[in-house]
Amino acid sequence: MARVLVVEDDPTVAKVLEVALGREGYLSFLVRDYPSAKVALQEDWDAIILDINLPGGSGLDLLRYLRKELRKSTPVLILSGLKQERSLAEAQALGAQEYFTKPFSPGGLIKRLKEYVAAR
Amino acid sequence: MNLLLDFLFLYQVVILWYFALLNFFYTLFAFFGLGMVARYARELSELSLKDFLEREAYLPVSILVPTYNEEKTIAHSVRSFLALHYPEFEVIVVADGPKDRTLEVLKEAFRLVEVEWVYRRALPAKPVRAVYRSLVYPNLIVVDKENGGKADALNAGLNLARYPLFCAVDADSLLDAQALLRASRLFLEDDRVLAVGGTIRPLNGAVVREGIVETLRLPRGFLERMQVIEYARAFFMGRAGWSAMGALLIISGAFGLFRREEALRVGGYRTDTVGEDMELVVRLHRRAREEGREYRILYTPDPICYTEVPADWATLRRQRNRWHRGLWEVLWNHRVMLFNPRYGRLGLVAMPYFFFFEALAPVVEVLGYVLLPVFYLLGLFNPEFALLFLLLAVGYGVLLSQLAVGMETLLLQRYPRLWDRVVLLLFALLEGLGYRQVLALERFVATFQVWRKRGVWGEMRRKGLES
Amino acid sequence: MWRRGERLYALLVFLVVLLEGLALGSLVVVFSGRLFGLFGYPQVYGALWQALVLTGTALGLLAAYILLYHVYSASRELLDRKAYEDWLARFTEILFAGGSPPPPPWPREAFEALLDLREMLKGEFAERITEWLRQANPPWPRILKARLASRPLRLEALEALAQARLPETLEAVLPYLAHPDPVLRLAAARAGARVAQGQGLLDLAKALLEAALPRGALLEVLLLLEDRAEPVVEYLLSQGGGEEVWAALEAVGRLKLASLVERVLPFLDQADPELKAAAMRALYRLRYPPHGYEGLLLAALKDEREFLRAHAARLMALLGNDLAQRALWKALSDPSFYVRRAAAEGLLRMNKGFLAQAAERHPDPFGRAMAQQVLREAA
Repeated sequence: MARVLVVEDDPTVAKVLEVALGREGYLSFLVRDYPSAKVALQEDWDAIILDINLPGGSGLDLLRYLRKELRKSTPVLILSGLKQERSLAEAQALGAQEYFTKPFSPGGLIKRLKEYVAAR
Repeated sequence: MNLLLDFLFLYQVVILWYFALLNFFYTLFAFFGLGMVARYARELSELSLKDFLEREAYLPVSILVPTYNEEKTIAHSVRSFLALHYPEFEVIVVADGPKDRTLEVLKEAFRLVEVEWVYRRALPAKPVRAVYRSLVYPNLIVVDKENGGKADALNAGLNLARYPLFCAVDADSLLDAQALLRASRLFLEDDRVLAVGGTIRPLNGAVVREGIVETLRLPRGFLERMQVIEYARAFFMGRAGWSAMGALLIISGAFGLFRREEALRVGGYRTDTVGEDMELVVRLHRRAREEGREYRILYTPDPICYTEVPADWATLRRQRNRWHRGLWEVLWNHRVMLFNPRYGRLGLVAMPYFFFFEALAPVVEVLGYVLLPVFYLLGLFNPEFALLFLLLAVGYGVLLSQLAVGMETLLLQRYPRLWDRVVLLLFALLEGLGYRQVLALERFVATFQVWRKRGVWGEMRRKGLES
Repeated sequence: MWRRGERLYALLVFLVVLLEGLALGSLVVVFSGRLFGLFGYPQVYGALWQALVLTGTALGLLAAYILLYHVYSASRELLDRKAYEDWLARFTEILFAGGSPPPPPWPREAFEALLDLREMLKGEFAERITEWLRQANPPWPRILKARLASRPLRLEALEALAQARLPETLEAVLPYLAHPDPVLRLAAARAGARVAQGQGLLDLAKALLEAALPRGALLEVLLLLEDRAEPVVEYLLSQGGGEEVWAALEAVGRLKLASLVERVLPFLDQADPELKAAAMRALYRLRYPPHGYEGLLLAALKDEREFLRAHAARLMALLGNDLAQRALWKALSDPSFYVRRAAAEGLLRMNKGFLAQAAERHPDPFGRAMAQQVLREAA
């Protein structure tokens, strides 16, 4: 069973993802802030859904930490409200696979997620 | 002898009038301030903040962090500034010739590399020794310069700042993640806004995890608890009241947002005063009034900044001594504004208030205590009467504190335990019995040190954040 | 950030202040009277006691209220949150599993949960939520039309409509764009921008002209329109005054409305420096080289106002020709730091080799330093 880490502080999005992932048969694990996410990243996941604005830090810093310091290539799907080009460009440069902006469509996100998990 | 008696009686009545007028002012602030906070609390919607954060309308902000000897706390604080929620900002840490390992700590924590950096020297400041950038955080700049004091460090930071707004913070402050969003919106939505100050709350006792204030707990120390009450009163009533009247003279050095061009235009921070934060605000007011411009300098209750307050008497007294000297220096530097109708409410209300009821208050208060034995010796002292009067004065002070504590219950991030609330209410009772008098004495002393100790800061001791 | 209950508190404070005002006022009168022998000692004594008792009462009242409020709000919030989470879970399950939501009337928390979902979701789910909201017949348009409703209530209704995004509610929102209260006006403009669609966009544009929002606020509103912005921005460009045009020009650049380029170009010839600068910024953001306007740009590069020169230098680089290169070389010796910086960055974009030359042998030492710095940063 594939394990997905969800880093998200918004309870609405967290709930939607929980239900959506559950229905696909994924095991999802939710963390709500930067420090907890940093701990959670130490484990191996099949995919990570990552928000950018988190209590205590930025999701982009988590991504940098994952790629540069932990040197993991886990697929990362950014899901953020930020619509500015600069965040998009930065996420890409840091090696995020996808960038979804909120509002989002769970169907689309899950579809891409499945492809990444299957490819591993 | 009769003359003396008459004089003493007259003195009593003058004091009574003073007391009554002062309390009238306080009440006015309480009223204006609470009204403003209550209205504001409803107006700013979370939805609009979200929209603001996610889209391109913002004005980018430079955060200036002057620091001296802060090796214990600096890495933590800088990390918390970098974690703020804002679409585009830079953090400029100015190491003001530290004597400890502050700079080394920064170099290690953020993988700094020295860079050649061309920038505009718009303000004079002590020579910059080196400019560093971080390999990890593209929006972090660290400046190493020769020691020149806080104002000088801020000016050096202002020279490097690139963005239209700048935010001056203390290195030991912790900002609420949304503080910049909340404050900067006001600049975008109103071109006349020159500066915005937020609410400062004591950090002592709070549970902090990696830069997030998780829960507020009342600190254990007596002094720290007193300051919780003092800060609530000063911000929710004092600042709010002045701002509502359009005459806000103080924006704390611990957190304030300014338009950079405006600060540069008036010449940045003055380095020859210990009240540089208030001085800049007064100068902005003064310049704008002299030019006959429409402008606004605001306090808004929402952007919240937590700061560590002194936990021991010595440090607290040094701090208050410095504040009071700063106040006198500002009043002296801008004495032309006093009672000058050209400066509107500032000249006719705010400056006189600060002169009579802030700067001179400790003198009146201490003289009052000193005269008590004189009255007693002259047989004019009626113990019952004096007791009643003291009770009334204390009761009134407590009332104002309670109003502020009540305001604090409305905040989402409040002291959550009921017991803490009870303690706060009890401590409000204690404030007038000792704490207040010691600080009045310190400010009394400071009044006579203004000339001798011009621009002298005195050491601040810091405990370091327990995380 | 704030809890509810501030109005009750404000009322209490008013009462307390009134009481205290009376007490202190009479005390001062009696004391002053005593000075002139109008009152005897007992009166003074009495006044003092009276003031004390009143203060004590006020203190007691206030303390009791604060403690009660603390307890009440804490437990109330716990219940509310629980209800909210239940509704959120319920709605989410139904969204995925299919089916219809429980029949209205719904409590406040249900609406909150549904609005939050609407805010975060798009596509098919969003459409279904919109349908549910419609069927639930929410109270917000009625509140807006009501004669008697408090200001906070109206603000809440505007915000809820902004989240619900039901196009048919626009007509309830638009009148508020002419409301005398600027806070309501801004809230209405924001709601309108989130709600308006199709024909409604033009109505919104017209109402925005009447609203007289500060330009920064108007810009925020325009950005909320996202991919629906074009007709509104176009209307403001042609019909608006200085403030509206400024916001519209900014919006063109930030929303990348390339189709409006032709409407922006004429503003390069504007007398108002703010509008001219806004036009230059917009074109620069669109990365649109303003061929045919070289003369105006060269003139702007010599303008006495620093910000115009800096914007002109930035835009000049997009031309990418010899003329631009020469002009920027010259601008490297500009007295302003920002113009030199813009010139160096422009040269970097056009021709890195040329910038390297400037770094070595530009006659102006500040120009050389800037060129070197920009080269270093690029490396």
